[in-house]
Amino acid sequence: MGQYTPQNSVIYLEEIFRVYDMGHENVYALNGVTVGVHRNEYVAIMGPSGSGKSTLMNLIGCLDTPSSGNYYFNGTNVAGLDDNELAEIRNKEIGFVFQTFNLLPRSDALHNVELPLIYAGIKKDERLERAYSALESVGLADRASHKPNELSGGQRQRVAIARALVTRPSILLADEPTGNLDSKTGEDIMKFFAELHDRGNTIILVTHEEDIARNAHRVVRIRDGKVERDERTRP
Amino acid sequence: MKLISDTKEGLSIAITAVKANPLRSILTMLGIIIGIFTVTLMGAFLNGTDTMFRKTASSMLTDVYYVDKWNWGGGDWRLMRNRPSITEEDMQELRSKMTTASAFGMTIGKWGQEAKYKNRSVQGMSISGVDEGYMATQSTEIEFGRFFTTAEISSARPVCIIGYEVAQKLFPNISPLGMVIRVQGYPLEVIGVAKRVGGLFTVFTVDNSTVMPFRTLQNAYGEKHQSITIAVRAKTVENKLDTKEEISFYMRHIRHLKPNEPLNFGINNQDQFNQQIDSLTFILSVVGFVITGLSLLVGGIGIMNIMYVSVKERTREIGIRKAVGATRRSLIFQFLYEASFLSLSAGLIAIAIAYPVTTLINNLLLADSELQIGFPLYYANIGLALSLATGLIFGIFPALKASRLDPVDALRYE
Repeated sequence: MGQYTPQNSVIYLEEIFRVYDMGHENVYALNGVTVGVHRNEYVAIMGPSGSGKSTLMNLIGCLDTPSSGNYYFNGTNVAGLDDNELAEIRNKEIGFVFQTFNLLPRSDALHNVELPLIYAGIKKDERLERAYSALESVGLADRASHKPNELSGGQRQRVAIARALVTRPSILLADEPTGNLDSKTGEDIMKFFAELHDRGNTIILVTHEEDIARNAHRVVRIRDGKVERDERTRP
Repeated sequence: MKLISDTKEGLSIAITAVKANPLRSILTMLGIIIGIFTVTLMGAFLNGTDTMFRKTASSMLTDVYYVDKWNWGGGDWRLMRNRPSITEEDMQELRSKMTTASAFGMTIGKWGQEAKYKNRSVQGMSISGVDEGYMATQSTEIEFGRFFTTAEISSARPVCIIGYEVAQKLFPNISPLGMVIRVQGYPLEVIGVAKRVGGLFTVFTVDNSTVMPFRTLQNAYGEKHQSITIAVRAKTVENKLDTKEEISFYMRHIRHLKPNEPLNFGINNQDQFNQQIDSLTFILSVVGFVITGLSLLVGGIGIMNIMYVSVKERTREIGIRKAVGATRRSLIFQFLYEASFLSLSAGLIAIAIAYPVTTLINNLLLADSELQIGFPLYYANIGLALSLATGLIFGIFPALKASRLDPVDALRYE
């Protein structure tokens, strides 16, 4: 996998360590991870619980910062950025899809999708237009004024996907996106991810399910805070 | 641009949050409502009393100095008691020497007197004996009847001018003119009624007073050596301090005071009262604002408490917002908006209550009183500003806490 460099990758992690100080001992959640992802790749990050895959996802998502190592996002090292700069990267470059959807319960679907654009400081007219077309692209235009509790699990996850896509981010970061869905709905969501990939999106999928990981074109296996295996599963 | 979208989002979140917990919001606001209600009513009350005090003081003319045994502004009572009396001769001396005075008047007075007409009576009235200079050195105006003639004054006729309150009490239904009242048993014919001064302390003004010729009072109440008060009116208001200097100079001369000896008489002026009013008003304000401050503190702590609860309850929401790109500043603003929305609403409610309450107090409790409490518009502004400040001050800590939450932990929070 020598073809990944900070310059040609959307994200490139280099010798990343994440150490938690647990009083008298240090726990190495990530123990020197080096991994890159090209534009329009569809990568699954796999690993058992405690393997460090969640920590890795948080770092990739700029929700957390590494103890040491470099993290290049579109060629820029973001490892040393401050809170505000990280917030801006999360806002503009990363679309999150969570296992538990993480929608604002008191806001309707449209407002949930609009939210990142508010923090991006985009004008109201443009915001509503873009939020609406994002909902349209996930097939929920007719549910725009519904609150999350008026939607099914699959619909909620699609609202979350619309929210993730609305800022046209560089990567879509999905953490067990089907974990809270029945298998039929889960399959639908995975089909939708495949479609998004075909449309040119870069997708990073974190999962512990082989079935789900099979949808990706490349699987990175994590164990004990290290990359155990990194293999291309589809051409 | 970003600030505007942050503001709108912050306000809509605040309104949603308040709507989601209406009872809790109202209870939280209660402290602020009470605080702002107190401060506005306190202000209105101070405003009213201040007006009353000043009305009382205004019954004295600003350009008149009162040479008296006592310093009206206060001082060592025991020292002043032993001062020599001010005499008629002192006034003759001043009148013949002074060049900056336009009028002189002498008065003697007694407090706590009783006046009767048939079966009606007035207690606690003051009486004064005056000379021809009275009208030129007082603000008193005659509403009905007339002032004393020179003959009446020089021959000590048993005639009098009564104040508004005395007239009200003794002659509620008929004209007092020509009637004979008894002051401490001594008969006096009413020849005039003075125009009402108003104010809170009518005992200090002509309203609750009976005025008679100087010698009438001396003859009737037999105190020949009582110290008198000499009223000296300055020629011009602008140069009234020169007049004061001149009084001091000649009185020192009369009293044979050496240059380094302190004055053994008082030169009093309306200004002294105003100063006293100022310091009294100041003390009242301080007390009022301490009380208000305490209730705002309690209200503010209530807000802070509820905002901490709000931050805790919405930990996950904060995580979500952070994940989609909310900066720390955006979150601080969001929670500050919520806190200020609560406190500002409370302030508005308080003022909306306080305004009709002042009107009610004026119309019901103070209907017959001279005291009317005012509610100037700027009190509403102060009240709103204070409530907003309380929200911001006590909202900042929970807001900072929210902004500092770790997004990973916040997203995981159940």
